[in-house]
Amino acid sequence: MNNSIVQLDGPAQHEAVQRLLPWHLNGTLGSVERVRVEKHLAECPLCQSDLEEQRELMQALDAPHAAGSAEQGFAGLMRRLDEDEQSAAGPRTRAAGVWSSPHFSRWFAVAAVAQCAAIALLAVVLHWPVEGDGPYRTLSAAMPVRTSGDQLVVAFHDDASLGEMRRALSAVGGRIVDGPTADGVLVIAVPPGSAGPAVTALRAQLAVRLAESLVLARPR
Amino acid sequence: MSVVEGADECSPEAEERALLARVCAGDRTAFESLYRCYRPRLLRFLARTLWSPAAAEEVLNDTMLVVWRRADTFNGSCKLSTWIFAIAYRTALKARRILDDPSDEVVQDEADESTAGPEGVVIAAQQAAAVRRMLEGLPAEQRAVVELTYFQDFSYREIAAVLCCPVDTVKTRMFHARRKLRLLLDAQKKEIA
Ligand SMILES: [Zn+2]
Repeated sequence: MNNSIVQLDGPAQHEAVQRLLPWHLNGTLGSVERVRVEKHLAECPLCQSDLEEQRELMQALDAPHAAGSAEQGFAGLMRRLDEDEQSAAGPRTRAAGVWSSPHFSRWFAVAAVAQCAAIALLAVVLHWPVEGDGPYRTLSAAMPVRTSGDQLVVAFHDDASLGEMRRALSAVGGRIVDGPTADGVLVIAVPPGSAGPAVTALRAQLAVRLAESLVLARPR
Repeated sequence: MSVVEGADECSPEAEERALLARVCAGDRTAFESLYRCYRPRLLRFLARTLWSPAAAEEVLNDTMLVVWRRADTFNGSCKLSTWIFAIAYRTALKARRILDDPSDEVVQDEADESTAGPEGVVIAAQQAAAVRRMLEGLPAEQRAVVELTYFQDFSYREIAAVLCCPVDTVKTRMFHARRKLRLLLDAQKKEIA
């Protein structure tokens, strides 16, 4: 226990406490820091109101996260485990794993989106709003996509391979800017003026389930 | 926190470690208990900080498979939850990196076939949309810190271990995230008013 730390005062103390407040709130500070924060809090109205604001913030962010059933989830996990142990018992030629699985298109989509760092990570959907009937409405409602060029919505068949998807997108100079929806619909950007030919080219690809030009009035 | 359903029934550290010891020995019942204990927390963390809910379910499975296979490598130097969340975070990042690989061959050692579907995750649309609007203004690593602090009750040291970054970085990220969220929340209130 170091008293000189606890006694630290002035703006430096205030700033240090500000940076600790979130963990004071969740009760995980060690005893030295806790004492330090409490002592400062008692005499700093700014930090007091800051703490109040954080409580409010927590409440605002606290949307329920309803997950599917644990039974189903665990059963799925066990299937994977069994398949895995079976294949481990057989010849050790495990292929591309999840990336070649039928579920991969969704995976790809998600990975692709996240990979488009700035835009996608900022705009990426934590919870897609499920209002509206179809993917288009959902997409239009969901995102202010900040990018130049024309935009399309694209979805791949479930059995499309990573290579097919990559080739399809690169053939039209497409870049994923957002998505996917729960049903795997992505928004891609193509070079300005090329939406029409890109849609035609994409539809010609076996891997592509859906390709449409995205011409929607976006709420500003 | 009321949100993290199941977290309360979650056993204390010693019991969790006992479960993990049984998992090391291939005990699937123990694995199921551990899974049930972590599922709500991990799903929430993954869905809120990195991915869409659909992806969260899959990254969860990948994560738990790593826990199953690597249970014997847990050395007890941190809390079990820190270890498991760190695996989850890394698994998610790995999925993100996959497209940076120019070849079609994907090196794969942990994730495998997935069976969980997006239908497993249902969303309270309105509220979720509001939260999303708030959080999407933040970079993913700031969201991770916010989520782990406010809703998973991690200490800043534990968060540093999960995200594999210095403690000061955690505090700074939280500081910036709070400021930004505050502005967004005020803007939202004004909109409603
Ligand atoms: Zn203060």
